Amino acid sequence: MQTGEFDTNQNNGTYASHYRGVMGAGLNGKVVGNNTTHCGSYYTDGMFYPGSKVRPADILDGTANTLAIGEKLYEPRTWLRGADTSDGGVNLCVTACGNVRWPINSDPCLLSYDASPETCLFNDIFFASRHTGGANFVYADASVHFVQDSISMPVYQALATIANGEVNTYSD
Amino acid sequence: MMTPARAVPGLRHAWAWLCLLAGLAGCGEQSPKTYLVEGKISFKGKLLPLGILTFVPKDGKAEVCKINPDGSYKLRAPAGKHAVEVIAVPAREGGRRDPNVEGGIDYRGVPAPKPLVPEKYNRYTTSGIEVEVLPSDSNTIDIILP
Repeated sequence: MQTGEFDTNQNNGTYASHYRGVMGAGLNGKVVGNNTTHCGSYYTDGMFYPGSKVRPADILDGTANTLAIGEKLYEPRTWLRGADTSDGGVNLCVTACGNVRWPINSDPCLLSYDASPETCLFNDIFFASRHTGGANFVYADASVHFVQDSISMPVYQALATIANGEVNTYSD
Repeated sequence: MMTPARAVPGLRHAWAWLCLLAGLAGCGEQSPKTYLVEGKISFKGKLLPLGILTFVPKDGKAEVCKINPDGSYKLRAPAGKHAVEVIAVPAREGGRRDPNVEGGIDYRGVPAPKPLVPEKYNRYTTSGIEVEVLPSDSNTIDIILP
C-alpha cells in the first residue's frame, strides 16, 4: 500500500507507508525489552508484532473490538523494512507495526522521536492522520472505523489488545 | 509501483486536502472544555529537568506535555481527576553516524542513559499519582513523586 508520499527522513526515493499494524498496549506485562532509548520496547498483546502468529480464534476480545492496522503520519517508513536494529539486536525498531502508547494525533513537536532526550520512542510513535479529530483503523474483522482522538486511553488500549477480557465501550 | 505523479506532488496534496475538507464539513464533535494547569514536578525532592508528563482522565483524551529544564510544566486538561504518568530519560551521548541504521546513529557499545524516575511512574496504571483539575484557569498542581 503506497501512498505516494516520500519519507523525507530516511530511505529517500522509496515509498513510505502511512499504515502500520497494531502491536497492542503492553498491558499485563506483554512487553518485550525494557529499552528506554530510541526504539523502545514493543508490545505483544495486539494483532501484529515481531513473530506474532495471531489467529482469529486468539482474538478473544472479538474481532469487531480489536484494532488491526492504523494510520501513521509521523516518521513514515516502508513496510518492507519490517524491523531493524541500531544496537546489534538489543534495540529493535519495528517499522511495520506500532505500540498504542500515546493518544491518537499527539503533538509531533512534543513527542518527536528525534528529540533529545528521546522521550517518545520509535515503537511508541502515535497513530495519527491528517483527518481532523482522529484516525482511521482497520479492525480485526476487516471493517474500517474512524477512531476519534478524544477516545479515552483505557478504551483505546482495550481496543488495541486481542485478549485482555475488556468489553468494548467505544463506538464511532 | 512507482508512479510518474511525483513531478507534481503539490497538486496531488491539494486534491487530498480538498477531499478531506469536503468530507469533514459539518462534522466534528465538540471537545470537552479544558483548563490551564501549571506546576512543578519533582522526584525525591529534586525538580525533574526533562521528560514527558501525561494526565489520563477516567474518560476522554489523555493530555501530554513536556517537562521544562526548570522542572515546570503547563498543559490544558478537562476538569476532574486524572491519573498521572511521567517518563524522564536523558539524551543518549556518543554513537557513530551510520545512515544504514534506524535513527542514523549506531549506538552499539554506548551505555543507555539511566531513567530519572522508577519505571512504575511510566504508566498511569501503576504510578499511584492522581491529581484533580478544577474548572478554572488558575490550577497550580505541583507533582511530587516520592
